[in-house]
Amino acid sequence: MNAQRFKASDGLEIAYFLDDYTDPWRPADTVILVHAAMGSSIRFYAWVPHLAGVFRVARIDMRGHGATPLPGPDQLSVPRLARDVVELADHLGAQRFHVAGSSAGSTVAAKAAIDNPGRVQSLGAFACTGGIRHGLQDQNSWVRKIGEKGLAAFLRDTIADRVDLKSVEPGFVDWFIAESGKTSVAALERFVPMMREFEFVADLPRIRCPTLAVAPGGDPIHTVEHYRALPERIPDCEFVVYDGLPHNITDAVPDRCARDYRRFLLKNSTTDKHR
Amino acid sequence: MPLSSTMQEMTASDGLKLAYAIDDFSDPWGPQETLILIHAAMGSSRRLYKWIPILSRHFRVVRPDMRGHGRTQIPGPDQLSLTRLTKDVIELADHLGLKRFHLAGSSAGSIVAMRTAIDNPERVLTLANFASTPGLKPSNIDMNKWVNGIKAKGFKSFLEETIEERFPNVQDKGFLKWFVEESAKTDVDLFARFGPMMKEVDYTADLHRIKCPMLNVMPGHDPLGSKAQYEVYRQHVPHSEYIWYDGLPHNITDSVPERCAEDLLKFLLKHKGRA
Repeated sequence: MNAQRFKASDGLEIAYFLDDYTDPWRPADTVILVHAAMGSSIRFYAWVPHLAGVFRVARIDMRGHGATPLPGPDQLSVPRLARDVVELADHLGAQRFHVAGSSAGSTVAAKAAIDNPGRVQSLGAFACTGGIRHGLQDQNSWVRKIGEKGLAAFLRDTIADRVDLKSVEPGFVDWFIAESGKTSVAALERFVPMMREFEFVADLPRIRCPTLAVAPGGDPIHTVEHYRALPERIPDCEFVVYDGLPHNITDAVPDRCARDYRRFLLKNSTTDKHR
Repeated sequence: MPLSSTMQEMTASDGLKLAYAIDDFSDPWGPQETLILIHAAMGSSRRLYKWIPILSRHFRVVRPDMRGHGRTQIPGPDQLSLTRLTKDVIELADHLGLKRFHLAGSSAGSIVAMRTAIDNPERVLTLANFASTPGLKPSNIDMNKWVNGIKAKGFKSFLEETIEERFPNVQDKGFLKWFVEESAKTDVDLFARFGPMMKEVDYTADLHRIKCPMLNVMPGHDPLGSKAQYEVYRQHVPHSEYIWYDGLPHNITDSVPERCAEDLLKFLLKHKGRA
């Protein structure tokens, strides 16, 4: 399938994929997935078949990622990325929608839920803390290393922080690095510090929709205590920990994530559940 | 809601433009296997949308629109024959660079699939036959009655009048309406050529040439084909497997699509990795 595009309110062309195998004669809820920093919505491919038979699934390429270009100096911020999500929903004609994100994408998804309580039906927050600066690593040092060695070499050096090398299939790591490595260093030099600056722990209680927070239990980047910020502050939050897994659960165990997310969505959707 | 698969197009060796959909959410590393899935007479590849979420995580699924159906052009007077339809399958595989592929079809689409497997044993990895005799000659379909009924009343009225016979097991009015609308998109003159052509076909004598693994999924209560008529493969393709859907009439691939796709997936996974 080819990427589709819509024009955001600041003029930037945003790319997205839409997958929909729902029954054509009945309405279906819309789900928007927001990928992590580096790579693109392609990183969610394995989730689609789990979800798209019941939901209309849109995957956005964040600014500077995938087929969405890196915008001008004033056009990259977390509120702007969250607005892109809402404008995609507008473009798709979805007054209300579910949103889920992975890592940096979950920050964007959470921001969309904070700013648009009337529109976001539920939030899926995978590997989400209330701001990445509380983590165990200085992400700004990542940018330095990426600048020195290139993104692929950086990812290869730090891959054990991201995936459990004992359990992923052979071939996964090379694919993951190739896919994530497509993001330009110029984009990450702006994107990572911006994410690091963005702090939203205090806003978490404003998330009024049902939330599923899924945390990696063996993450060298954030402790489970950091991840616990969500269930502690969001009024209606289910918290699931994947024991022993490092940061990138949405890539390394996509089927498990998508199955848990599907179960959560079915519980919280207006879509007919008798199917 | 629109179905989302993007249609692609290729040109057959006789110049006709053939449309097909590709849905693929399989892991991009490691060897990839492709399933070509052929819809029944009337309508198009869209009739198989519900199969995609079940199959496409494991296989690349390619759904052609048969000649005269869906977005594939209507063939000229000399451009419609069973041989030509099987050639389209092989040319589609060539176009996609597939040396070997899995093949499945529903009803008339299965007549094409089986003939393709008979004539191209080196190309077809596995064969799945849903609800078909080896050509319509050995079936109970009164093709003249169908063609005359469609010509006299138009597709929509003909289908509306016979819908209860097709789907006594389906209560969902939305589905029935959609099925009629989707099938009624078929060109009446095309069907008046396509149906009688299939009614001339009987390749029972060639079935013994099917050497690849074969699955037969058969409706157990079909006025169009008796159990004895559908059991012909037991004799000629002794290694083939049978699954009977007790009590169900002909259109199993539309009325219980998920059950069909799950049985197909089990069969395919058993034979995966032999390409």
